[in-house]
Amino acid sequence: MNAVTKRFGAATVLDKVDLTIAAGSFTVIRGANGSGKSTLLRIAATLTSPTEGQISINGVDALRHSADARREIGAVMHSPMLYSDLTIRENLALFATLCQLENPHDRVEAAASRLRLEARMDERVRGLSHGYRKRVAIARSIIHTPNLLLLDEPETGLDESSLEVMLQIVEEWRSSGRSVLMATHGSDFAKSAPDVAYTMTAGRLESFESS
Amino acid sequence: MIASLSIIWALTLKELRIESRNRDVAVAIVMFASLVIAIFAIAIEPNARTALETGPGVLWAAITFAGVVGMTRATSHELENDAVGALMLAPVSRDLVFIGKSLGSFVFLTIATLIVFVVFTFMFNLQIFHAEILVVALLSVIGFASVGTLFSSLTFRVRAREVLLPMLFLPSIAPLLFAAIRVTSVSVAGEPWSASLPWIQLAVVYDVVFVTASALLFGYVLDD
Repeated sequence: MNAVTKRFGAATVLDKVDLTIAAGSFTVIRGANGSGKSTLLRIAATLTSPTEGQISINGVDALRHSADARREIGAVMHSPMLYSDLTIRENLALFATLCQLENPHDRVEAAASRLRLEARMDERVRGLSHGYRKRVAIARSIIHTPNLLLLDEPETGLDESSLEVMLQIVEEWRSSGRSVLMATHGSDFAKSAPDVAYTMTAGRLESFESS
Repeated sequence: MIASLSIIWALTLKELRIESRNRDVAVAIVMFASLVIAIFAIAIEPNARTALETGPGVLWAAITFAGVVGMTRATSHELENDAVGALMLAPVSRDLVFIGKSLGSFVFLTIATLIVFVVFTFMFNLQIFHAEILVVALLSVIGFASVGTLFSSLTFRVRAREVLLPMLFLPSIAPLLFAAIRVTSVSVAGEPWSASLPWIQLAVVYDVVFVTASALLFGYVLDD
């Protein structure tokens, strides 16, 4: 990200943010509610356009070629982004089809198995708890093995065992040369040895720590 | 090409699957349109002459307002859990998302329109299953579905979307509505195909222009 600014009316939510995520790194952005973390991740996920600035993901200009850039991204945002009247299987299969994956059925089963969703695959999302919905969202985010995993406060609503799985996925992504960018307001999960940690205050990435 | 078709089919199937489990969009359209037609039928007490004069307007006003109600319902599925975000995260062109969603709306609207036609025929005692009326109905549903998909997406994040959607949608489909009413009027009056042709041509031109424009604009309106 290069000099990314986002304004909503008169309010500047992100102010000339520069951010580079190295391949195989786990980057954490900590910050209070309203500091701009979620907006930053939404922009990185191409869900929101920046007012100014450039974004490149694995060499792809995310503003000009957003569909190609999205192939490189998996995202777990605040809301689960699932269709309530579709089953877990149908939600995952829809995304796998949209990603034009080979053997989508196998990819759905593999992602579901990873998040221990097998037993409830044919249940509609409407009947699932918040934590379960989050697990489905995480399964969807890894189904196409993206190079960049964006996690916006992924720990919210997850139980201990799901958090454990989430940490394993982060570790796996890091060790396989892919990257993870996580926003959090400072939970234990964020202390799980990130390679780089930033603090965001009022739309600016202020401090920087590298392990 | 095959990949694009499979994406469009997956999106259309998603719309149909959700609707088949709720039936709230089709039921909302059919019930609302039937009520409007019934109210007018009671108020006008149509005879052979008044049915010809007022019937076409009542029919298309009912379908149009019911379509707005149906589209508002359809939008709610996308807003729950911010589900539309899943489509926005997918590595596909927004054009394909637009086509898939429009096709889903097209299917509901077509089914609902045919049911409303039957209700209207019964209430107004007018035979409207004429080829030219079916052609203009098809063209109208194509236009309604595509323009409706665009405007319902535009109003996704607007608090007063139930008000804003009809305010944007109704003026935009006025030419199509006018063509549909005129074709229905001349056809039930027993006039030949040639009398309907200019209005059918207007509907074709409308669809070409507005479907293309809606597809081009959809990507922009879907972004925040």
